[in-house]
Amino acid sequence: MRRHLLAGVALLSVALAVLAPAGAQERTLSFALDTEAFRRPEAEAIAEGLRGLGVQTEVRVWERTSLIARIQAGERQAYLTDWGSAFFDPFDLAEPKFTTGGRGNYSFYSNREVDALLVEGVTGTDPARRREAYFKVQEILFREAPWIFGYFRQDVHGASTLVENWEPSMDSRINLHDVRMARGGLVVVGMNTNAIVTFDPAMFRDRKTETVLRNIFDGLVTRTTRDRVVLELASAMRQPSPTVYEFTVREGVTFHNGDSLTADDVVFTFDRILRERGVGGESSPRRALLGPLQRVERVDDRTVRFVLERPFPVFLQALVHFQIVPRRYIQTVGDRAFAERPVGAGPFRYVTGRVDSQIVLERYDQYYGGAPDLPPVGPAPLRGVVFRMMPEPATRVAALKAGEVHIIEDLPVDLIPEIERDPRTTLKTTQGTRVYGVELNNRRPPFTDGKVRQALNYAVNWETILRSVYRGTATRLSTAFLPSGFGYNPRQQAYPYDPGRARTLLREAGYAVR
Amino acid sequence: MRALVVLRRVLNTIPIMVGVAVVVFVVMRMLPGDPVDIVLGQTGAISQQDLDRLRRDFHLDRPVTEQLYRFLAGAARGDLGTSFARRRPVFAMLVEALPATVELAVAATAVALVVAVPVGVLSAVYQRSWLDRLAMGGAFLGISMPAFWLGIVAIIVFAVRLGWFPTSGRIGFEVFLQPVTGFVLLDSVLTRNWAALWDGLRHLALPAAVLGAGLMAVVARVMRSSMIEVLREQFVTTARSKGLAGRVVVLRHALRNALIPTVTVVGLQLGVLLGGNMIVETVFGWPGMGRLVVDAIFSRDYPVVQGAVMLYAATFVLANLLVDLCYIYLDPRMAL
Amino acid sequence: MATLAAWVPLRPTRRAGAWGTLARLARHPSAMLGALVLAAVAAGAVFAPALAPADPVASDLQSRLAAPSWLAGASGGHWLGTDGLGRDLWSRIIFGSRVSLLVGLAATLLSLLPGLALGLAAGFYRGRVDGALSRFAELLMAFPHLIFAIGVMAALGPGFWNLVMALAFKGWVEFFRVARGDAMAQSAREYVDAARAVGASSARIVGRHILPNMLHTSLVLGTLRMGHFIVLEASLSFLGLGLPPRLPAWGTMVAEGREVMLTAWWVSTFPGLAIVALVLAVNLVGEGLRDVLDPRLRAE
Repeated sequence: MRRHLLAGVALLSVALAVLAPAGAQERTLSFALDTEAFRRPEAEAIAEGLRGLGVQTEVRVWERTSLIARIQAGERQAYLTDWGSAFFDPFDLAEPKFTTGGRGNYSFYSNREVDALLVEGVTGTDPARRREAYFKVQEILFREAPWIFGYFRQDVHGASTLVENWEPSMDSRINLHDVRMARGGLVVVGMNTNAIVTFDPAMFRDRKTETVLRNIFDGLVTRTTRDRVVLELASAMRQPSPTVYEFTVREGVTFHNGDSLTADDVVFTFDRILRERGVGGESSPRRALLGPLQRVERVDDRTVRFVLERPFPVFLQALVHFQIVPRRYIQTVGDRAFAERPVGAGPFRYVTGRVDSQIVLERYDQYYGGAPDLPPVGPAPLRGVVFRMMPEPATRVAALKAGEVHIIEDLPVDLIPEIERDPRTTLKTTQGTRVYGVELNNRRPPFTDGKVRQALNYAVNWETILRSVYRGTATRLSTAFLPSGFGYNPRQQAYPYDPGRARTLLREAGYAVR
Repeated sequence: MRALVVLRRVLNTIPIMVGVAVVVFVVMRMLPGDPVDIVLGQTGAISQQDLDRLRRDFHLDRPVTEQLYRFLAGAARGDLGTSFARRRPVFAMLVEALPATVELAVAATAVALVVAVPVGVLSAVYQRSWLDRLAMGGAFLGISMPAFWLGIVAIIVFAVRLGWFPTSGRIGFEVFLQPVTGFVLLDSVLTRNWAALWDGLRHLALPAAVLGAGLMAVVARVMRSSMIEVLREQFVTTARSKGLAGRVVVLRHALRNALIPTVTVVGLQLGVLLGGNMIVETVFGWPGMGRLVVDAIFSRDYPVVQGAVMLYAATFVLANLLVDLCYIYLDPRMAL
Repeated sequence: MATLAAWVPLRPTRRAGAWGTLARLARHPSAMLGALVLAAVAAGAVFAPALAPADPVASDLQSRLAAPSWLAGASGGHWLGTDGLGRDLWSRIIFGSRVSLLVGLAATLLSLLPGLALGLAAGFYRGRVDGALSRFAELLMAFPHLIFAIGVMAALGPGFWNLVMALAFKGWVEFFRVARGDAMAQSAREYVDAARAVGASSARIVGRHILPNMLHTSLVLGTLRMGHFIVLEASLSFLGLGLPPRLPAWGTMVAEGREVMLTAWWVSTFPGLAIVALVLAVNLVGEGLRDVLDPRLRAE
């Protein structure tokens, strides 16, 4: 019985293989290009370019959540997406996006070799070998073109000329410890969000919340405005083995309520994240960022040991994103109350405010000084900071020009001239850490065919599009690895704009072109 | 048996509330998108363990019927669940956001009444004059302008170009107001913080005007037509009377009568006002319930949407109930 | 529920006569103004390809956010300027009238017909039918319309009929209430008892006597609600939940201009003015109809 079935299937496949290409000669490539509202100009431009080649593309605009749900269900064909990376490493970029079955793998790309290489990259101990593995991944990704590879952008912010010694960070945080004002001692920051999520450093996942909290809380380590990790609350770090890290907690650090910071606070901080239901009966969504961290132990009053299940080269980068919380205070008032009135060891203490309107912080005079590698060391020069939620870009810009706020984040490209023209304001930019591209559903036709995917990569004139839409603040990427991240291959070329080659490939794949 | 009618009317509200709860529960779960995914965001590393933990926390791993029962039972107790995004009790979040919305709605109503009642009266008295035509024309304009557009234009003209008003928010950063009731104007009076009062009024002005524009128009027209009605009757009976004194008496009497349908309209519109100010809150960055709900829908924060819709429904049902009760008492024929 | 309906005065069986109504309407100045604007918009919608100077969907990234040609220092060529993709604003406004008109008409019709029918049934038959329908209507009314529409659009996704459904699904309730009140008031008239005594069937009573006397209130309400639906559609587009982007829609255009309203104020302002003009026209016609059909009708 089974043999007959097999024979039937084989016969059918042969028939289809013979007949299908014959019938396919006059097919036109046609697909839907999905996007969110804010990337519509780009989508329309891409679609128009493709139409010039005879490819029928229709742009559909979706609300973000609906779109992602439908993408994950595998229903859509091509979609503009983006993914942020905080670790300057493919661990939180290439890994979730290209591993078979990865939670961020919206292209359903599956390649066992790439999977193995990524594992080596994420868990390897020899940096040279890790780099090689990542180089190989980029090569394969380029060849197989699971996406129409795109670009990354400059983060563009605006600041009043009165603000001194502030540079935006690549990880999007606005660190105000070292900032001064030429006049007055209060800085107001206009944030591009409706509300931050919480005041509890264990219970958020977005960068805006981290921006505010990072001024109230300090971590064991922190970052420069680029990607270098430096010590902060920790005074020394040792790595006795690939899976063990030991930190010495700095002396003389106090929380805003006067409690001294000891190893117990560090252990408490990580325990509540590692444990299920560890935060007042709820689980922390930050567990995955700690990778294979198994447990945190108190060695003595001033020493903490982190034990991992396996080597995790980006562990230090990860630790930057975890802030130390006061154990005694939380155990006294409870997690809920702590999330309403936070107490940390950072340069500014919480005074008043709500997560959805404005948050007022004032200088903590007993601040231990901050990271020795990030001068000036000492209490903050500013007497206070206010974070205002201003999700409307035009409002933010108007407020900056009016002097109501002094720093605004996420300046829209079209409003850049407004800031540049005004003598009281100035532009501040830094390299962004979000990858933008067009993901193709590799499991659904027409994108099951590698030739089609490659053709599309040749067919999009990124240079013109990026110039018109982003006015020079976006840079092409060869694959989905960021130049700021570990393992980026600067010699990997991106697909050039070559409509001729695109046409050839499409014809080879059996589509009619113009 | 008026009491029986009243009782029946009150009891009728219960199945409505239950119905609303069920409908919003079902609709939210029909929306594509996984709340857990959204909480974790489009960034960084995500593990299956995190997903499972959160799903358990949110009770999304339980059967749907159990989730519904949990929600309904909680709602009856006054516990509206915990927000997925902010991990706070929904009830607390709504209570925190409500004063901003209520303050805006009340201010809008006040603005509308202060402008519309005199305009309506004057239009009725000087019917068919240029004043009347201008006023009614303006009223028409008022109900024809979409709030989001009017808001944007108001910001461009009054906040950006002229600089008379701030561009967004409820109060400036440099003003420290001690929160007592949550209402900025009330609190500033209670704590004698006059700077805060002034600043609060400045921030309230534009959103209240925009939100009140539609109501202003409706009230003006209702006032005008009811005044005309009443005036026509009164005028006939007290026609040849004492001149100016008579006119004033007629006006005052007419005004009182004409206000009844106006109050009705305002009462019914209050429910609409509370529900429809989402757009104004979004445009002006007003931290109220409207903005909270719109955000929560987009981020699939089921508990917040469920709780907020229940609150809106309760407000609407209550407003309706009060109006109907008034009519039951005023007119026995209405007890149907 | 029955409260406002009581204010609707009862009408005699003499029908107004469609031509008579139109004639009277023609003498009503504000209604004629509204009708004129409406006709202009409709003409624009129908003859859009001929009237529009440029292709409404052709993006020209080189001339993004160009100022209207009559402003000082503008590069000219576009009467109302261009939007963020370089598309001519005036052409998009002309084509956008199609969306607003179609959505408004479709939503109004899809609300009016079921609302009228169900209201008639509830008002005439009373009893359990009325009870069930009224309860359902009250349930729907408890939801703010915008939230309801957002929920439906987010669930169904973008699309013309999805949008119309989102508007009509709650929109019929207004028509239902008014029709119900009308039907109840009409059925209580003596002529109905008389007709029944003579032996006329329910259908005949409804068809010949009740329905014709109810139509005018529904018609007036229809014109007024149409303006409401147009604004609602614009609001949904503003929030990003409207129609697919190939079809220019005024609400979407206002939303697109929000970001650049500091510098390119025309992108938001002119589409918004178009919305105002259309809704104003519709409202004026509705008011005129109301005045003409029954000058004693109270404003709701």
